[in-house]
Amino acid sequence: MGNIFSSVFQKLWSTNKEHRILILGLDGAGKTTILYRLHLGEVISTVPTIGFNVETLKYQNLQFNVWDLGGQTTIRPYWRCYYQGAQAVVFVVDSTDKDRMEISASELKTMLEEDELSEAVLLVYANKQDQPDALGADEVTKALKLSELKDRSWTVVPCSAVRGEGLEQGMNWLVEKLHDDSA
Amino acid sequence: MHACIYALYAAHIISCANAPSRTVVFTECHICHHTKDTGMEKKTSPENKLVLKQILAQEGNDRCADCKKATYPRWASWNIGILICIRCSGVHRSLGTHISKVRSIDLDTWNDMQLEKLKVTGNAVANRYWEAQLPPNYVPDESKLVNFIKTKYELRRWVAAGPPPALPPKLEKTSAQVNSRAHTTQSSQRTHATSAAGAHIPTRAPATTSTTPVSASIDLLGLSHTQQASPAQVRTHAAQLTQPPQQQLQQPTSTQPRPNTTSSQADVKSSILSLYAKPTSNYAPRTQQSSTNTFNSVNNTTYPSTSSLNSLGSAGTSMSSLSSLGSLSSLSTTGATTQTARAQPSSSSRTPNVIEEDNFSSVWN
Repeated sequence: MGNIFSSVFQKLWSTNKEHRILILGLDGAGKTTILYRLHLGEVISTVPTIGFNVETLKYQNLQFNVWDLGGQTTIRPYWRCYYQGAQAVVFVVDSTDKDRMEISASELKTMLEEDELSEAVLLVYANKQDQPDALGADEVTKALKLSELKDRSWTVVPCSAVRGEGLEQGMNWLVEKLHDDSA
Repeated sequence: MHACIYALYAAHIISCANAPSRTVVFTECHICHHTKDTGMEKKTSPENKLVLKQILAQEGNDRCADCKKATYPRWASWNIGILICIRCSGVHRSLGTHISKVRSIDLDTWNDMQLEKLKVTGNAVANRYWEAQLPPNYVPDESKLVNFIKTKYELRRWVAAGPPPALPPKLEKTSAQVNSRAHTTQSSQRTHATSAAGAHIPTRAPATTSTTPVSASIDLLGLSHTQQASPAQVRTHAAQLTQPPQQQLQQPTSTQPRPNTTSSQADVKSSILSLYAKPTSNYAPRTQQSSTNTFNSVNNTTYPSTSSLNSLGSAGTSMSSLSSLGSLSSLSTTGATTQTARAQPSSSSRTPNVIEEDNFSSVWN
């Protein structure tokens, strides 16, 4: 009886539980635009994020506590202050910014080496697909050396935050993975 | 190649093997100034920090290159070579990196190439190219800023003929000389903006107000590398010779002689004037601007934005988009409400020379 009660309670608890998600990436990748596109369903005009934005999103019965951290060079070291308890990292890449793809890969690698993120799933948004010269998902996968990742659930979803394309696909993947993890 | 960086970093870890891992993570390599966190992006070297300071003190760089209202911009588009405010930087980022590469003066690191581009271009030179077909000292309407910036850089509607301001290596020395001179002369950005447009559209600009500063800005900034400079220079030299002294006095910023073109006597006068003007402010151009009627209102309105920019330094505070405050004000967690008090009257800052709005309504609406 007690077991049944606790399992019911746990189920209720798990649906109400907030999943802590970080949106990270280089400056100007589109992190804030993605956050507010998901939150408000519209494109807002942004300024560079100094510090962070945080919003609570509800998506398919799941609550997400989404943190969008500033991506400027000298504030990237502060990302680590937010790692604890993060179940997923949404890493946003500007697919048109080929010059800085290597830096992006380096930041991602550094981040994923952290113990606090060892359990976190990784969703990479290859953003700005509305631009003609944007790299595709395969090219981004290669540039970020994602195939070298071990013991990590990851995916690359091409998207355009300004058009709203691909964002849902990524979120669906995330929901699926977080469900799997909590089951 | 960055292999050496990791090698050095690894070596550093080994040397610090007894230290707790946390300290190692935060320690930068004392040889190459790389940290594990910043990866391949070097820290801004102390020399480059000095150069950045010089660039910020450069004439014209004390005011946002696009909105012309925000003072002391702390953001830059390094490939265009301009300093802009945080709000305009948001619009620049939306253009895409193929048009504008935005970096923060304070929050990003700078390498030599980026700095050099910013140094030799700067707001005055850049606007001479990008706003060549706009009236002198054109201040865009606040509400149409996004469209203005897109039209300016993406559609390139108002650019001058020829390529954008480039960076010829041979002129590095010239620009350095110009920089040192820029510290001693006291010419406002307004003068540059006026002269910039005047240099390219002589038919639009009134001769008494615009031709004299043309030579000033051209000589001071060493703009011989711009393609349009030579005919303009010839013309303005002639204009200068025929310019009666009284006309020059009409504009306070144009009273100073041009060191390159005028006699040594003029040089003395210039330096004395600059010495006299210096103690009033660290940023002499601002002092002069505030003395002109046109900019009084602008200065008053832009102070809040400057102070808010200064407060942005703390990483713990959440600063959300300025331009979207209206839509975001309902959000409880953005913390952007600290900046909602900033309201800038758009009409008060328009200059007498501003063109009719209708000319561009098709572009903006």
